[in-house]
Amino acid sequence: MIKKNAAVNYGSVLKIGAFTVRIETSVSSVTEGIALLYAGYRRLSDKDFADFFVRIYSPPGIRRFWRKQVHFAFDQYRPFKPLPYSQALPFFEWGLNWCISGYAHQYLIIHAAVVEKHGQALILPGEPGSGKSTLCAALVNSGWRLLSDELTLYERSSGLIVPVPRPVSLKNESIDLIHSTFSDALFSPTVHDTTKGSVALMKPPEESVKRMMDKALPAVVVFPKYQPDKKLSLTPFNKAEAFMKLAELSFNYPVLGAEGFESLYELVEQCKTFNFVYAGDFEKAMDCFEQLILEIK
Amino acid sequence: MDNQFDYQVVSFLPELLVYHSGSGMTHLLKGDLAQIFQIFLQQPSKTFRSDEIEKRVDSHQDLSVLLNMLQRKDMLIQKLD
Repeated sequence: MIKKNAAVNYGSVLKIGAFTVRIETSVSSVTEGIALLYAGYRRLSDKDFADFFVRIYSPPGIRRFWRKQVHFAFDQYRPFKPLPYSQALPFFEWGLNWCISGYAHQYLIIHAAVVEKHGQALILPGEPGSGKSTLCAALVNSGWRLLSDELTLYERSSGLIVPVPRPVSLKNESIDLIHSTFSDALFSPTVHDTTKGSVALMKPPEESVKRMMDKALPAVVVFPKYQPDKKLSLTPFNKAEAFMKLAELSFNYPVLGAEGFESLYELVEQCKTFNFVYAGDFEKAMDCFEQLILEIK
Repeated sequence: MDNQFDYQVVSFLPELLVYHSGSGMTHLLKGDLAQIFQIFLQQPSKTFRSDEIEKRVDSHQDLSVLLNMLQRKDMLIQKLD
């Protein structure tokens, strides 16, 4: 339970795609991070219904002075152990991922980046280290619309992908790589020594934020694999195996049961599926995806 | 299989089946395994005889292994041999 006297000096209700999120925090890195990264998002009134009520706060007591920590709370529940104070902003993002993936079961949720161009959504599922967020950051800085860098939400009733455009989480070498390649991109300060290494959050492009309610037609699923010693290749991947990989990468496929199976089948059936190996050459990768999406269109 | 055994199957290619059981497990069946399972889909039964299956599959190699695999995946309930 949250202590009633936990200090709160910031409160905001943000519209983030399909969700409304109430945020309360006393941590300056989070307030500054939200001001920077969520600058163009619609603010709602305190009276509006919020899907998720999250708090990031520093616990009272000795921890305020010695190895300061932060808690993440969802409603009155703390699902995680506290993290070092310096990690408050990524903690907020990770916590919000957890809220959506754990509770938004009206969608089939896949651990995948998803971007859109020419009305066609390109889904990039991948385990950590596959390079999906790096590719996603490169794509959205090259004219693609960000739907999500982490959670692909498939809505069965419409057969469309529901956007939830939030900051792109980049790690380690990817931070400098994207920063140096796309000098206009805005980043939060880098946080070091997290469980994922160094982490920085990239602000979503303005256009993606403006169009956060525009759903997109799923068209292609590409499983990326970053391999620095390999040549770029895009090869068809059979749909049955793609189905199995997507099921593994889904957060709520087992929760949805038969509905999950049918949703995933419909998603895979309407997409072309590929494996993609790349060595970090964004220009070639962008050309490849552009050509692919135009062919499909 | 009767109605008490809930399952869903989709096939993107003839030799590849994706099977989802009422228990929530999903399996990918390839090649011979998919071919054998197709027989059960065409003539649903919770029981089977190996010799009857042998007559209908191309490859008899490792048939018992394949049947055991299906049993382990809870796709076949009872072997009558």
